[in-house]
Amino acid sequence: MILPSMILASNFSADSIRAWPLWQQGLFVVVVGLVGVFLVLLLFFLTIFIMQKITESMEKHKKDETV
Amino acid sequence: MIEVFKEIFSGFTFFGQGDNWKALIMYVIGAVLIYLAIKKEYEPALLLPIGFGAILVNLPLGVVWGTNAVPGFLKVLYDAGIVTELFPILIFIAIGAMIDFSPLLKNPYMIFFGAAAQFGIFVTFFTTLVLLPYLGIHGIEALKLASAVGIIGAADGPTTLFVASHYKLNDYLGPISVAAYSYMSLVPIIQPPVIRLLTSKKERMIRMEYHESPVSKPIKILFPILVTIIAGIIVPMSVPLVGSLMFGNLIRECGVLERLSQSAQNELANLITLLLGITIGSTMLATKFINPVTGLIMLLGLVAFIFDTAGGVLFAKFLNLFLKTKINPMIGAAGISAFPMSARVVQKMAKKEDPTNFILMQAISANAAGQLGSIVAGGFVIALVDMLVKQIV
Repeated sequence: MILPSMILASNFSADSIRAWPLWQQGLFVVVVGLVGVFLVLLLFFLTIFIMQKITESMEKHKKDETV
Repeated sequence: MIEVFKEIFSGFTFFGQGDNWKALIMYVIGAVLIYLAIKKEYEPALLLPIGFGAILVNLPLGVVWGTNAVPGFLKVLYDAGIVTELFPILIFIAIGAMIDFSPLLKNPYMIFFGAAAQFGIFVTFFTTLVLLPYLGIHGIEALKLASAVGIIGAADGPTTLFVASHYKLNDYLGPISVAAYSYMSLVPIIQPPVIRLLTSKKERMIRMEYHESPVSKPIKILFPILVTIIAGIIVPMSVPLVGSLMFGNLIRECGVLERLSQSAQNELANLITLLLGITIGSTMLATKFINPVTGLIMLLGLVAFIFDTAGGVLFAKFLNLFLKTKINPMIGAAGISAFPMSARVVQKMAKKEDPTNFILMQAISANAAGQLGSIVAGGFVIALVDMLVKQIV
């Protein structure tokens, strides 16, 4: 509750975060870091998913051509 | 005459001067590490050189370390490989050449376990940050040290070293590295009790279907390239780690650099491991190593490992609330970076509950995802903490 309220209360610039107490800066790293890791891995997932779909459709297309 | 003898045999009088008696404790610690490496076979390739390095650097006069003006061979290695962050990067090229991402490419949804199992990194980062002021470490120093201690939980030695080197944590490099590598070797001991505590027998017996389908070569080649580009755009600080890991993997998968791939997997990996171990050991100077912060680092490193395992397992249990086809929650524990040790531990536990249950491939997928997750987490920690520590620069 503290972190979201702080984010809403401040103008959320890098300078304002640096002015926070150390433990709140830590909490910021925890929240942003965890969300960030999930987001990046989500992008990796989408990359694999799209590559698979493209490969599947290309193989299907090849099969259709040979038939 | 006595003065001449004193000068020649100064090694004998060394231990009586100031805090030099602490060197004797470091000999014992070095011997214990060598014992664990040889007798228990806990990460012998690293613990043995680390143990021997710890003994070497604490010998009288510190000849192997030398001085800034006349550096000894260990300081030359340290300056060349650790200060420049080169050794962890080279190790990642070797690891990349060793990893087969096919199981992950077949089960891409497993990638999320590689994210969930980084929970311990951030929990430990925060815990360390709160505790360090009690040991007299405040502000920026606390942020930097907490970053490296948190990363221990990723079970990823090179990333831990990379973060510690990035923040020039020279005084703590010894305990951080020893914690990272010794806990990595203790995965079969640390993970099972945590998994058992968080799962029921019924959950541990859940079977998972595995569809054996080949992964096309273009996907295997495109994967390392695209991952590097995505990571490079979103978390530029992770590029040295992701880039070197993926470069190694591209060499492996391209199919035209077999000789280089083999060299990366064998010669490069062996040579860097050898130099890395003894160089880490050389950071374990008694006067820097024996203090309360070392104890805290070792303890919190363990906490990080436990919370990473718990994070992965609890994430799988959370997913099971919504999924029709349930996931064996033990898979989540394999989302750490200890590859393939963690996957083997999970399979062993599954087999113990039901000898016919085979979840190794899913566990390997999560384990490979853990490699990616830990370096991305390392990149995020560096990026965020770099932003915060700018306040005094």
